[in-house]
Amino acid sequence: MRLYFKFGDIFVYIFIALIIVGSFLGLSIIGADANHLQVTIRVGEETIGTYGLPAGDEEKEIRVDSGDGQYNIVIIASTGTYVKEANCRDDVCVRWGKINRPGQTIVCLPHRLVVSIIGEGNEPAVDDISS
Amino acid sequence: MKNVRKMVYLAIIISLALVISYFEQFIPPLAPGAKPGLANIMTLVTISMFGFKEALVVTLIRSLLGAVMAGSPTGILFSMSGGILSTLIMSAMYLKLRRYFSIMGISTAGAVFHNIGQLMVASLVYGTFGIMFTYLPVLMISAIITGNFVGLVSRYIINLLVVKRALST
Repeated sequence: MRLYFKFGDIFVYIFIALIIVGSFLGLSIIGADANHLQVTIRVGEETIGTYGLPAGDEEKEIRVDSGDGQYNIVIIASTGTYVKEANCRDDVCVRWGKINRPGQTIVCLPHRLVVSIIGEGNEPAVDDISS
Repeated sequence: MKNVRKMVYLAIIISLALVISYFEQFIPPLAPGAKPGLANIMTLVTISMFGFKEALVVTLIRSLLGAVMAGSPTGILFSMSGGILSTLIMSAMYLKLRRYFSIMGISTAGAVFHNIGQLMVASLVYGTFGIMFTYLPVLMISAIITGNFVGLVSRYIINLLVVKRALST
């Protein structure tokens, strides 16, 4: 009986192993860019600002004044964005908790404040490619 | 006479490939999007029976008709790019380097390059290489499994055809 595999097949498997290693390397190189998220803060129709996530453990504190002494203090960190303090009447925004995935939002209705996370470059769902 | 014979053979092969890829969708995939690629059997058989040009024709017509049948015109870009690349690689390996590679090795390489071609075009279309890198390792594992299976099946078919041809002449 002849052997099913031949010597050259080793190279096919070496190639596969290289591709797997290479794609993990490539992912770690571009990974930081691919998951680049931004936080936008709006009051009503007006965009107050768009902020990138700070690196590491740093936190960005943004005070949003929406007139009449109304304010919200938004904390942006790589672990999650949340409203730390506000003088609105129901404090829903403070109790909202942290958001960290694209598409999530925090809303403070009394101050008409909307904090949302947007992803840079919409990654298609897995099934889009493979069909 | 020879040409008609070849044409009929190619037509049969293309329709077999289409039927195979139709029934393939009922097999649960190993990972989302990791199809078994059983129609690759037909590409390998074409390469061994006729050669590179004919295999390319089979691949192109198959992906064209397959996209029409499945009703997804966007998929044609991905399946064609993967198909052309894998046919190129498999033909080169089968026709030039058969002494060094087994059919299983050739078909595994074909599956690998099918995925690479597909994901490259997908990355270009969607403008991000992140999907390519996240998705390649999973597809490589599935390519090893399905590539060996496809190679084994093709091996039996090709051997059978060689025996039959020897008997008929």
